[in-house]
Amino acid sequence: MAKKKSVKEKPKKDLSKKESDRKKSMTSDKLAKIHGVAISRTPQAAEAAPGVPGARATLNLGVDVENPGDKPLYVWATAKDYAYDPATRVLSVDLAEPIKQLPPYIKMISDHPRAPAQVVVNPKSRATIKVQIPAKVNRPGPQGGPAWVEDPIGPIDRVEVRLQHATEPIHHRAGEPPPEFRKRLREHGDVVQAEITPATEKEK
Amino acid sequence: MSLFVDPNGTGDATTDLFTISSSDGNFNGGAPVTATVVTNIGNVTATQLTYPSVTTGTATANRLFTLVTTNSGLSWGDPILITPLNGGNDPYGFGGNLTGNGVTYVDTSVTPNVIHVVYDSSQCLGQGMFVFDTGGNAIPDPSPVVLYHELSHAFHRAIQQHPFPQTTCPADTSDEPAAETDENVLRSQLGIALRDVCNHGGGCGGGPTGGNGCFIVSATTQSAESAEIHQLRELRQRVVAKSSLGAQLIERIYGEYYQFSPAIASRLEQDDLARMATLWIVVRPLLAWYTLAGALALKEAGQKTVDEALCEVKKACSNNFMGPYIGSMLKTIRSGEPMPEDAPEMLLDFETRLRQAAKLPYASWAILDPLMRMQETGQTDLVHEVSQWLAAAPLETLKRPANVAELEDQLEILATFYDFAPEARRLAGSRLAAAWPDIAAALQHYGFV
Repeated sequence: MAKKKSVKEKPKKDLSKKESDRKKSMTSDKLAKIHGVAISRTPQAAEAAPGVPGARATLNLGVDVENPGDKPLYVWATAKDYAYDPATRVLSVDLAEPIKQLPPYIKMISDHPRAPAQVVVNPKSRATIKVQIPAKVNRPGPQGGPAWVEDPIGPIDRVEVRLQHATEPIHHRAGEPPPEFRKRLREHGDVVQAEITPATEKEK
Repeated sequence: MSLFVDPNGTGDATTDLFTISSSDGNFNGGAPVTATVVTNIGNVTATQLTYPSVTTGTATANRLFTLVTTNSGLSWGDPILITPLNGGNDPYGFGGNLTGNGVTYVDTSVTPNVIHVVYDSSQCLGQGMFVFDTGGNAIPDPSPVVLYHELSHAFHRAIQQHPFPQTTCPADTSDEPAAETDENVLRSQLGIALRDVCNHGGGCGGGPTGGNGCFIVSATTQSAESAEIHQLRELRQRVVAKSSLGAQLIERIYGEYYQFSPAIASRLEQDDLARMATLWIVVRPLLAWYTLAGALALKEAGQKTVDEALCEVKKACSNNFMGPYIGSMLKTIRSGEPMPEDAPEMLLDFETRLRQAAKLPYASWAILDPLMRMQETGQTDLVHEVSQWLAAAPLETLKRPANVAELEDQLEILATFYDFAPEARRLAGSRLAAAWPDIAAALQHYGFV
């Protein structure tokens, strides 16, 4: 039985100041609107035992996006990060450049910001952004430190989506140092976010 | 302290590290990298890798030796911990979703500091990965190259030259150009396209200009989206969907395939005659063989499909008048004997790469073995030959699921692949029983012994 979906605007408390400023520069009728998310699991998700090496159980997300503006929008279609909370059964998916800061004790010595896959949504039309993520979440173990565990993504009641988009596509420019590209990625276009009840069968 | 592998890793670094060592049997004693768990890194009980001496003499093997062996002129106290992922997010929470990417960072909150190398060894969940050459073309980014790139960052940190000095990309003060210069050393050894060291872009899939990792099939059909590519991809997806051990076997085949196929493909792209010959003599017979094996083992189709697949193999072989001769040449290569002086020029051109493939257990089984079987039998009993081929699959060398219940589930699935030929199941089972004696009862239960 398909579950009725509901969409609510996510409070903007965790938007960065730059994101808030960018939002102010555009009227809301030019921002993409997220109407819903459909979730399916690949057949092997049901067959493969969680944690079996080599198994590729995946979650397939279809994000229903509207472009209410009068210019084509380049909508990000790559999950830059994701998380799952088994207590609240909320899946969070970042189709946007992550904004979290590293703790001071972590020194990053590689730097590979990647341009996302981008889907063009024409003016005054809707499109489904298809995204695949592994049906599991790796997380630090109960004792912290380097030990970690792999948890399957269980039943999902709500999906939090951050979705970045712009009227121009973004790509890495040859010769561009990684920090500059990361900065461009973070400042590119706009980010909308929504918390949605997925249009999928109620999971057991 | 030196190089360790995280046994929690959901991916597999064995093939990638052996590729970096240029298939040096001395590396880790020739054993899978998670074979033994010997020491603690922070809170992780990790496998310390060994490399007593380099026998292959390649630059990447020497670098790996340096990373493994702290008495080789370097002295740093920080262990390097490799965590291979089967896609997914950085388990420590710092690198985001690493599907199709890799990351290297230092955790300074522990003593000694741990240099983490976390990377996706699944080729973006089987979709392939790409980066760019100096012409702006998308080129494949195989898993061993991804790992070697990250190890370059770790090496620069360990020798306290991070970022490593470089002048190729003057505006870029990151360590990326130096790591990409290093990865091009491995790319050269593998005979694959070199990366633009000033372009750090890339991603999942074939990229904007195509490319999917099926180098020889793409080269012979002149398309990354040909019917043959789709047929191969569909078969691969069916196996992966059914069995995690099957998925792992395919991953290892691809890992080895990357070592020799790009060089053959780039040669084929320059020579129409060689391209057509390879299509008819190698690619189409192999595809027909895999289709037949899939129809027999996966049982998702009826007898009609099996019969059609049998016809396809026979047709592919009868169209292939050079087949018996090529079969005998492959036998010569596999035995290590020299090629006859009057061997076709095309074969002599590929001799080095074919000899390389013959030494690789997974690629040799997956590619050379069926070609030889098809020619040797005269296609009289193809079902039996396919069963014997499946019986010879090097399953016993794969990484076992740690949990016994999960392993039994996988054995149950695997057993069904041999339902059409129980004697082949027992042949495979005898090797599994020798490699995994602790699960003899389960093997017996599922008909392997």
